[in-house]
Amino acid sequence: MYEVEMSGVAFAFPEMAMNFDLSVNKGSLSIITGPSGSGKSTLLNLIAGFETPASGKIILTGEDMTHTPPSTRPVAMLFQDHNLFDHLSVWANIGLGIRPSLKLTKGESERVRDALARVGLADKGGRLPSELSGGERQRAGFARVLVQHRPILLLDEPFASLGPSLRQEMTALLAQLHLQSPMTILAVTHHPEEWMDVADHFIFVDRGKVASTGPMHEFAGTLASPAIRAYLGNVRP
Amino acid sequence: MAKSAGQLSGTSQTARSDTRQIAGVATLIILICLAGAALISTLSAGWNGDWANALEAVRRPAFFTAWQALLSTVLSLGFAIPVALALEHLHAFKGRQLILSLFAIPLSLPAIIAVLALLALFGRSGWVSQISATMGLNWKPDIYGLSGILIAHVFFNMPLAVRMLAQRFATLSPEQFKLGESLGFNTYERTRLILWPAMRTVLPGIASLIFLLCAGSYTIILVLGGGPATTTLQAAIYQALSFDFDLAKASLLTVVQLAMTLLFLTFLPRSPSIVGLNAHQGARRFHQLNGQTFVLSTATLVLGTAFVALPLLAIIMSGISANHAKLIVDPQLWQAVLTSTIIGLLSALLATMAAYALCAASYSTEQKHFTRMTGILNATPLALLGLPSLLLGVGWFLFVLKTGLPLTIAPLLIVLANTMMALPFGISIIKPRLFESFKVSDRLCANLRLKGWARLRLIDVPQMRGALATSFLFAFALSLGDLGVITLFGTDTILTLPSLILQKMGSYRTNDAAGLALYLALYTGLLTLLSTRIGRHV
Repeated sequence: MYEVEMSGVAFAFPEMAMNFDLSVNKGSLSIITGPSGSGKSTLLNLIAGFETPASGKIILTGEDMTHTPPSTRPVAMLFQDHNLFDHLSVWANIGLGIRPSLKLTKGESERVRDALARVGLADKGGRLPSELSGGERQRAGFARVLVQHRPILLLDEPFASLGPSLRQEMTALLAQLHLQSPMTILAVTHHPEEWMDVADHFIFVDRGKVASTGPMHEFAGTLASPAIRAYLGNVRP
Repeated sequence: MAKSAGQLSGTSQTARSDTRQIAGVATLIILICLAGAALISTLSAGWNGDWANALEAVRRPAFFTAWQALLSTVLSLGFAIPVALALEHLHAFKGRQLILSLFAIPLSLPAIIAVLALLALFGRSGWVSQISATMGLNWKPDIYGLSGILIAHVFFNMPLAVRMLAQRFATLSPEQFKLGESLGFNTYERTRLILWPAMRTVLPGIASLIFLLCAGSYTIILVLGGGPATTTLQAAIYQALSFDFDLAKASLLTVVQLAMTLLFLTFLPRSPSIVGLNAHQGARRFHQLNGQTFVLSTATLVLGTAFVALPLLAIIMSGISANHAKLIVDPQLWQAVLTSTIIGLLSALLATMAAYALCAASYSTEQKHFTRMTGILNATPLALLGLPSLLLGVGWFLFVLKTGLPLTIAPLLIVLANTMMALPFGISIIKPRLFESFKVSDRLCANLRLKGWARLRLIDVPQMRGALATSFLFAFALSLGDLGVITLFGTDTILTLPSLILQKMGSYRTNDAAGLALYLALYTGLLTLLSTRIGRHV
């Protein structure tokens, strides 16, 4: 069963017209990769509802959500930066995922505590985001995703601003969370080689189109398309 | 032996930085000397040690200055915050930029014109009175006194605050809005969790700036203030010098005014770009407006726009009815236009050059971690905001009298006063662009051994031309309308457009004054609009 389906989704920027057709399996972890400016983030924004297509259909969890506002889509999203509100504690930032008014019941507070523990921030709920490291801030973002209970998670280059070892650590954490709470995850990345052991599918976007998709093992080596080989150059995942 | 790239880079960088620091410090010394000469002349002019009388003379204007400035600040912000939020909620509204441009016009509109406009609206035979008579109510608003002063101050400062808040909102990251939308924030939550925290960081700075501007306002007080009960320190200084020639009183009032200014200046560095001249659209917003928010925001925006647009419309309407055939052939008009233009051009040129020198020096000292020097370079020009041109005028006027210099030096003093008045605005426009540009080009230029005039011509000026043009045009517009120094030296010494308007008003030729006010408003308005248009793309 498909969790995300896009058919004939047309969207145009003045400099480029895009047209997406895509089907993503339920519970899969897919990376979206491709050259800069090819339309990866736009694809994510269309699924999240931050962009409205000129034509075509976007079906999420089996329902047509082409014109549904972002807040009512079954989607959670994490960005490279600015995932937390600086003036709110880590606890409050996570609580927002349950209720924006932050008037949480006992049970909901328990959920926040549990999410903090799962991402390894059990003792840091009272801190401000500025008092956390880059990796801890992304962990807090993950904790909020966990309490949101949305079936689809979109990640827009979430670890791009972190160093190599932290990126590895965060990718492993994501894989672990994916195992514990099966969600359909779509992650935009410029470093496909770092996702080889974690992701199960790739979506290669080129010039405003989904140029190819497939299982991760087809991404590298002889099975990869010439466009992917050109994109990867000498990097061998 | 050939030098390494690092050595070359280091040497050029140091040489360049030293030139910047020398130019900046020289500019700073000139500014301090000019301000110092004015202050020392005033303070040493006539103090007679009579504390009892002095306190009596100061008590009432000092209280009224603080009171009216406080009320003006509260009212301006009380009006500006809902208007800025409405503009933010209606972010996709096509006329948004037009409203922000309209709000830029009062920034440099001469106070004398605003007063004329408010009289045309709220005066005894103004529009409001006429509408009230037509409706059979026969109610006449009282524009003279505190109410008139407050309306005039809100007219000037509400749009200023809206632009500064809009500029703050424009710097918010698009991710914050996406996140809010994805978490299902409603309008209240969006305001509380995204917009209010952003506003909170700049409100103390904006409030202090408005307080300072209102505490230093005097044209409005002189015309609309209804007597001793509504006299500010600035107006009292003018009266002490022009009517009583009481130097002791004038110097004491100056000290109190300065103390009040310095107190509030401590908050100013936290304000964003002073005039919000580069208020741009910012990132796209993604929220869905509900009906209630839409109606409320639209109503607030209509009210705010009408409040600013109606006086401007009144200037046009009353200006149109003047006898233009007579005005246009009046040699006095052309003499005033020429003098104002020359003064404006010179002031704008000096202000822009000084602002560039100070910003470049500030960048250089900051890079070298000369914290104290950077602090002085940043704070001194801001302190000028608290030295309204009248204060400078008073000091220099006394200096001229004391040293026996001819009164024909007045045009030079007007140029200098206008330069100093426009400088803080110039700095706030140039600084962000200069820092951004130097950060990228400094190392590259050092590596290419590009320095001095060649670097200025090939790299710095082309990269900065937008910011320099914005600063120049805004300073030009500000200088055109200033009356601060000229009223002290007398309009027979030098004739500018604002002084000609004042002359016509004084001789009860209201129609001529309205016509001239229209010309001056068009002149300053066009320059400001051009300046903000360039500023948006900087």
